[in-house]
Amino acid sequence: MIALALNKKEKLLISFLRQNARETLTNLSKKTSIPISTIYDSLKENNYITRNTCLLDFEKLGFHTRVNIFLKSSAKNRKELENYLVGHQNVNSVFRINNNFDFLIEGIFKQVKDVQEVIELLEKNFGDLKKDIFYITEELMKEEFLSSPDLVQTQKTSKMTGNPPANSGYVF
Amino acid sequence: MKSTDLEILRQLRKNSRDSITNISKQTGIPTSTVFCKIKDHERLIKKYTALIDFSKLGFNNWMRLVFHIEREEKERLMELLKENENINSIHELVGESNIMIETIHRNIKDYLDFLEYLQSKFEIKELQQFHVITDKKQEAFMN
Repeated sequence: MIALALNKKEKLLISFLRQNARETLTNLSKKTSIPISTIYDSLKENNYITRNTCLLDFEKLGFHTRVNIFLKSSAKNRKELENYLVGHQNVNSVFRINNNFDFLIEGIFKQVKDVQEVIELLEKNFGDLKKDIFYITEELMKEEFLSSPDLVQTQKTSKMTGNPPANSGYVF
Repeated sequence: MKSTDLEILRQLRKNSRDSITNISKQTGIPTSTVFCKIKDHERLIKKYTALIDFSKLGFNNWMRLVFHIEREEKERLMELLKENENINSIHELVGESNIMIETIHRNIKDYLDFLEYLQSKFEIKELQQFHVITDKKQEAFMN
């Protein structure tokens, strides 16, 4: 895939939206020096923002159990499993992955018992399922990539290797 | 929590840039109430953010790593990870593998450089690496 060529202001806009997607157009304009009308058009027409959302503190909403589950099914059941996971109300995210598994899901539940019920249902409906379950005790960071305007910069390369230097900012 | 409160949170999960007027139209809740409820519920909202298809920006290596790190090393590891611009998320886990991180790099070489650096600084045990091919659903709970 050919990456979009964005200028520094557009990169800044992305980082401010990653930081606070509810920021007003006026404030975004002030922070990035991009005219409001340009930001408006960019937000409407870009194809890289998949959705503007809010990340909730599910613990405070009474959902005390969060779990990451790696799953692998037979090739014949894979699509059916995907549809089941995508349609399940407690599944927050579904990722297609490799390395001996097909899917990684993030589930949000009120209690451990609810996770167990889902696992039992999965085992019943997809008998040949391979799984690895990891309960989350703490979310230390979420959706932080490209969210620091200070780190937005144009491409730099290391004189030593020709590669971007480590920890020097987002290079894109 | 009342159903009206949940409805407002649901609308914000669907589109956090939606205007108060539009949320009011969608939910049938008066604009003044929507305004107050959003203010009231700020304690429940960790962050408003834009979900991005990073591959369209040239970041083609999206990984999930699960590993074990000794308790006494954990704090130092967190400091390093939180300062690294290629980390998107960090979860602390129960059990033998006690950390899961999500990384986003331009290419596999940059990722391997990061991994080599990480392994040179810490004793990473039971490392499992998964390449994320695509997302089928993201942040959809209560949506």
